[in-house]
Order: sequence, then C-alpha cells, then structure tokens
Amino acid sequence: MSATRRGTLARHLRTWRAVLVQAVRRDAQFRAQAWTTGLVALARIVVGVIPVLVLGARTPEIGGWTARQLIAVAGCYQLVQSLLEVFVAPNLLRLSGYVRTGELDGVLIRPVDPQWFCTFRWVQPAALTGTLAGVALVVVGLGDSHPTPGGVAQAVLALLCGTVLLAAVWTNAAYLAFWFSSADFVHDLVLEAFTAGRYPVSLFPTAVRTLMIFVVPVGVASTYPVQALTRGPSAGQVVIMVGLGVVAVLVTRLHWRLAVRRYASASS
Amino acid sequence: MSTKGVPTGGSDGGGVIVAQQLIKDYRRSRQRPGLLGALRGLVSRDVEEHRALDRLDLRVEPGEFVGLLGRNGAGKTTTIKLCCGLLRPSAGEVRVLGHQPWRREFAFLRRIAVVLGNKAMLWWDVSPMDSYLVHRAMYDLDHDDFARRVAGLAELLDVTTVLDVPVRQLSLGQRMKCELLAALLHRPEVLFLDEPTIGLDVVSTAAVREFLAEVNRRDRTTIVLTSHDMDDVEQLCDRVLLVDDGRLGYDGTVADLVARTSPDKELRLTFRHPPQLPAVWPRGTRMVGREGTSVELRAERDAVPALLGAAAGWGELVDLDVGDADLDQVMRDVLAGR
Amino acid sequence: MTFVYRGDFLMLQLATVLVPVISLLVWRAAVAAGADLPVDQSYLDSYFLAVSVVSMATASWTAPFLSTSIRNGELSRSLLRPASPHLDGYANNLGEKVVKLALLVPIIVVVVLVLPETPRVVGDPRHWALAVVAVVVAAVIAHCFEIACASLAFWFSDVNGFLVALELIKGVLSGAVVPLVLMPPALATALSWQPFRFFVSFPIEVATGQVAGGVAFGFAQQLGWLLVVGGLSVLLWRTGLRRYAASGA
Repeated sequence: MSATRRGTLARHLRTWRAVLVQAVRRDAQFRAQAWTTGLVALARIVVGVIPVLVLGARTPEIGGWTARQLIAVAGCYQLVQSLLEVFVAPNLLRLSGYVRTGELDGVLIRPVDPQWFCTFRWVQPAALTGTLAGVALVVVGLGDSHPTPGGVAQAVLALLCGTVLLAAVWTNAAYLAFWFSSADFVHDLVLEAFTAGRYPVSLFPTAVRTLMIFVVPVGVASTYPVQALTRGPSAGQVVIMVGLGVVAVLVTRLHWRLAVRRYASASS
Repeated sequence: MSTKGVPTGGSDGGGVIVAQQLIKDYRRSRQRPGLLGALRGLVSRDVEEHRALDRLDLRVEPGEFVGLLGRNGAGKTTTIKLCCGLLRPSAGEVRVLGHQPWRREFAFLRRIAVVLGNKAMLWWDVSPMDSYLVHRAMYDLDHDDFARRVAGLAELLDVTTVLDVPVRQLSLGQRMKCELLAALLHRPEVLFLDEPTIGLDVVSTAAVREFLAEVNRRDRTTIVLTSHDMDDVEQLCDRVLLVDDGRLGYDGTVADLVARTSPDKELRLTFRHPPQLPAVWPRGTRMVGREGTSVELRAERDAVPALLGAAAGWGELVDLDVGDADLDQVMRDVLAGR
Repeated sequence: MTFVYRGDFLMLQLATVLVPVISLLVWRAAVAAGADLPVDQSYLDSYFLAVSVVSMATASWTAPFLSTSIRNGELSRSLLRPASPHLDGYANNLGEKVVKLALLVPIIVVVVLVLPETPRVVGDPRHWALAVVAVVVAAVIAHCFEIACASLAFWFSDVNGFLVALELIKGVLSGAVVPLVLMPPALATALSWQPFRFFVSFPIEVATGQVAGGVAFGFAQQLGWLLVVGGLSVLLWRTGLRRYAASGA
C-alpha cells in the first residue's frame, strides 16, 4: 500500500515537472508575451511597495517596526504573492471556465488526483520576476539584522505555511464557481484582501489583526517570517501556523469533494 | 494491483462493460424568479427528479465496436458518463473492466480513454508532442515504449510531420487525429468516443474512420462510439445500441436494425418519357417524390416484386435503383414510432 | 440569475473599497505613532473614504475593449453604424457607474459605522459641489486618455500588457494608492503638475478644501490637461482610423 502511494506521489511529481517544462517551452515560443508577463509582474511589485516606502519615509518607527523592517514585510508578502501568481493563479482563474463548459470532465477521466491537477496544471514561469523582486526586498529590508538559525528556520516555515494558507483561501473562494453561476469577481476581492499583508499586522486594530491571521492569513505569510528573523523563534506562532495549515488543507479537500459531487449531479 | 490481467467478476464472464438494472436520477432544483423567489428558495426548494436511465441492461464484449445511438436527452451521454466514472449510478450496477468506474481508481482510469468530440485535450499553444510528454508522466509510460507508440500511431494517422507544430496552426482534421493519438498513447483497453468526426471534412472523416477500425482490429481495443453521423455508425460498428427514454430500445447489428424496423425498400424508377402513373398504387407502396421522368417510391419488402411487374406498364423503364432506407431514416422512423 | 449577477458585482465593489480602508487604518497607525504629516487624521479619513468613489466615477475601462475590437476587426462593424463608434462606450460607462455607485455608497456607510473611531469628514457643501464638477471633467479626461491609449492598437499588435502596466502606474500617480500630499515634498511638487493627479487626487483635494496651489489654479490646470488629452485622443484616433481604412482590415 505504502509502495503504491509512493509511486503515486512520484508520478504526480513527474507530471508536474512535465507541465512545467511545457510552460517554459511555451514562454520560449511567445517571447514577447513572456516579457510582458514578467515586466507587468515586476511593475506590480514596484507599485505595491511605494505606499510602504512613503509610510517608512514619514515615520521612523511604527508599531515597533522600523522603516527597513516594513520593507522586509512587504518583501515577504510580494514573495508569497508572486509564488501564487506563478503556480496557482493561472489554474484558479480557469476554474469557472472548467465548470461552465464541462471541461472538468476532461480532468476527471485522467488517472491523477483531479483537485491537484486543477490547482497545479498551469504554470506561468515568466511571473517569477516578481518572486525575485520579493526576495530582493527582503534582503534589502533585513540588511542590518542578524537572524538566528532557529529564526531562519521558522521564517522559512512561516513562508511555506503562509503560501499554503493563502493558496487554500483563494482556492476555496474559486470553488464558489461550483455553487454560483457567476462569481468571477471573487478573485478581485480575495487579491485585494491579501494586500493587507504588505503591512505588519500590529498596525491594524485588534479585530482586523485576528482576521489577518485566522481568516485571510496574510499575516502568517508576511509578518511572521520577519518577526522570526528579527525577534527569534516563537513556539506559539509555530503551533498557530502549522495548525491553521492542516485545517486549511483539510477544509479545501472537503470543499472540493462536495463541489465535485454537485458538479456531477448538475451535469447531464 | 496488476494492470495486465482482466479482473474477472463472478457473473461478468469477461464482459468489458456490464450494466445491470442501471438507474440514474438527476435532481434539478427549480428557481423561483426574482429576489423574493431567491430568498424563498433558501427556505424551501422545489426539487424535481428526472430519471435519465431507467433499469438499463447492457453488455459489451472485449474487442467489440459498439455504436450508441439515441436522441438528445435519451440517456446516451449519461450512459457514457456512467461508464467512464464521471457519474455515480443512483441504483443498479455498472462494471467496466471489472471496476466500478465511479471509484476512479488509477488501475481503472489507466485502462480506458475518452475522447470528447469538441473538447480539446491538447494545449493550443504548444506542439502535440509537448502535450504527449505530459501524458507520458500522467499515465506512467515507459520512455522507449512511448516513443515507439507515438511513432507508430503518428504514421498510421499520417501526422508524423506535424507533431512538433503548435496545435493552433494545425487544421481541424490534423487536430482531431492528434487528439486520438493522445487518447491511445497508454494503450487503453476501452475507448469511449463522443462525436469523433464532428466538423471534419470528408477526407479527414474517412481517415479517422479507417484509423479507428484499424485500432479495433489490430489492438482488439473495445470501442464505444456515439455519433450524430449515421455513416460513422454504419461503417464502423458491428453492433448498435439504441437508448431511448433511459432504456435499451434496440441491441443488434445495423443490418438487423434496418431490417427489423424498416422492412421498406426505396426504389427509384427512371423512365424514358414522363410515366403514366396509376391512380391507385399497388398495396404496400407509396410515392415519396417525383421529378421529371423519375419517381421515388417506398414499398414494403414483400410488395416489391409485384410493384416491379406493374411498373413496366407505366412507361419505358430506363433505370432502376433499389436500396434499404438509410440509418438516418431508420432512426427517424424508430423514434417517431414511439 | 440577476440576483447572482448582482452578488458578483457587489464583490467587485467590496474589492475596490478594501484597499483604501487598509490604507486608512495604516495611516491612522502612523498618526498614532507620531508621524510628522502635512495633514491631519480627519483629512486622511476623508481622503481614503472618498478615493474609491472618485476612482470609480472617473475610471473609464474602455481601452482594453476598444483595442481588442481594433485588433480583431470587430471595429469595422461598429464603424458601419450611423452613430459614433464610441457611443456604446459612453453609454455602457455611464450606466455601469450608476449601478456601481448604488452599491458603493452603502458599503462606505457600513465602513464608516464599523471603523473603531468614527471618521470626521472635512469640507463644506460648496467645496463638494465644486468637487462634482472636478469629477465630471476628470471622467472626460480619463475617457479621452483611454481612447488615445486604445488607438495605439492601430499601430502595435499587442497593447494589453502596456495597458495593464499603465493602469498600475496610473494608480500611483493619480493618488489612488497614496495621497500625493504624503509623498516627499520635492516629489509632491513635481507630481502636482502631471495629468494623472487630475484623475483622482484633485477632485478630493477640492472636496476637502486643501488644493495644492489653490482651487482656481487647479481648475485651470485640469482644463489645460483636458485640452491636451482630448486633442491627443482625437489626433491618434483619426490618424489611426485612416491607417485602418487604408489597410482594409
């Protein structure tokens, strides 16, 4: 049984590698379009960081954060955000089309996990420019701090959990397409809500802060990593983010099952 | 689990597709109009049950080429979807290759293929080969075997030269051929085809048909086909299943279907001069059309000899054409008679 | 169906309010942290509450549709009709704005009620009336600007990437992302001259009665940009159309 499962995992990884290669070849073929995608992703980050720079220029310290740390938080946000843009967004934006046109049938007859396939089939490698810019911002923002190894490990874990959490929230929102005939603007709503992650959670009123950790967990993706790097590890945060991550994945899994059941009974 | 041997279920006796007393009900909720209706809909809902399949029995043997016919909404799409695991039966049972399709196990999906006529599986922006590589990973195919398989199928389909051309630059016919190639890469034992020749020109249609016949003959692939094109069915299928009102209306060969449902013959008589047609037609005969010096008649089988004898008296006969009503016509008759 | 459709539209409006509300909260935190700002909290509250309405009312979103129709040749069909091919765009734009406004205003009222510290809105009725004029002029400039941008599709095959990038830059330069007055002083002066300021920032400045350089001078600048952008759009559209007709697309 476990041997089969390992085989299944390896097959899914090989499939993912194949779609990645396919996407790169596609970008190589449509070079002008790839450049545009890359430059737009970069422009989005530059524009996104401007309000943070203005804020930092006006206040040397705010809510216990220095101007440079603010840049690091914004950098973490952009890093996670652009990973979603590269690996998840092109899939979620297609989902309502799959449901409307019945193209989902073409996925369900494949010998792969359909939820996995609907989440990772499409890749947009050109948007990785945004990821690089995010890393650059983090480096610039943390230039004068000296993180501990434990802090670094926790920061990486936080970025990972943050990415999973945001992907899960967005995915669940995208699944609204199964229940409502038109919910395309839900993507705008989710993405705008994510932008709160550009700022540390401590800048917001308590209620909003709670939302930013537990409901739209952008705080986990941006505030937690920088906190770990500048203030050292915290066991409480590890428990929160790992717990949330597990819950989010389970909920998303369940939501998919219910959604596909509805899809199957609605089609004829 | 081994993917080679065909698992033998107790009573299956090796049938590739076995459906017993298959029932599929759909629930449709009716929406009341307006905002008030939508709000009321939150409290109570008008649910309507619709029976798409009603105790359908079905059996397909290995290596058969079966045509599934029926009107829109008669249940043929539902049948296909139940067989490839897209739907779960409401009651009764269906087994394909010994599996319950709706469980969607790897071992099952690995052994079937589905080509949904107008839904493309190949990515528009890249070459067919790039898409095949994704299939190779997905179906866990051996690299050497994969390469041989692609080369062999491409040659058979005459698409060898277009495998590295982006799909969007291919003609519709080439695209369909490449889709078929993709579907057959993993050597499926059962192939479900939904409208494979829709929109294709005559030459491509002929090529696709020839290819499907070859696959069925050479690899002993069981093929189930639905098509609006009766020529597809007539030329390819050993057996047709007519689904109507959620039940199996007919099961047999095309020739038998023609013979059983329409014993009529179609005759086209051409005379040298405009004929003197009788005021009263012989028993079992009626005129379908008349044009200049020729008449088109439809006559019951038994009435034909007498009719031909009588026709000599209507004028000087120069040409005579006798044939069975085509399947299109047969279908129309069968369905209208219900 | 329409019920669902409206739900979708509501989500879009919620999205447009979300970013300004986030900014509002962040700048309140800055004020609380003792930031040295040229304006007070009530100005910031008013600015960020107004920005979603003004952005929406002055936005045009015509360029992507128009450039697509130029590219795929659909434009030819609307050129055959006796009315201006832009008429559809105007009507669509205006109608959509009315619907959006009807959804946006209640959302903003809810935001005001929910905010931990009820915002004090600045400005008197006369300023507000003038601001409406500024919004209308801004909407016309913005629409002309979109037509000018879309006209580039007569010369270039793919302008959509450019349009997206422009949209992003416009957000910053118009003051929709950060009030221009909060920019570093030297930069703020430079920014007060560029056309995008008159899309969003200027109408709100008028409403709050704090126009950099004075109200009269501001309106003179806005009208100047109206002439420049309007002239440019007519020029680009006409020459582009001649090219389009010549190529027989």
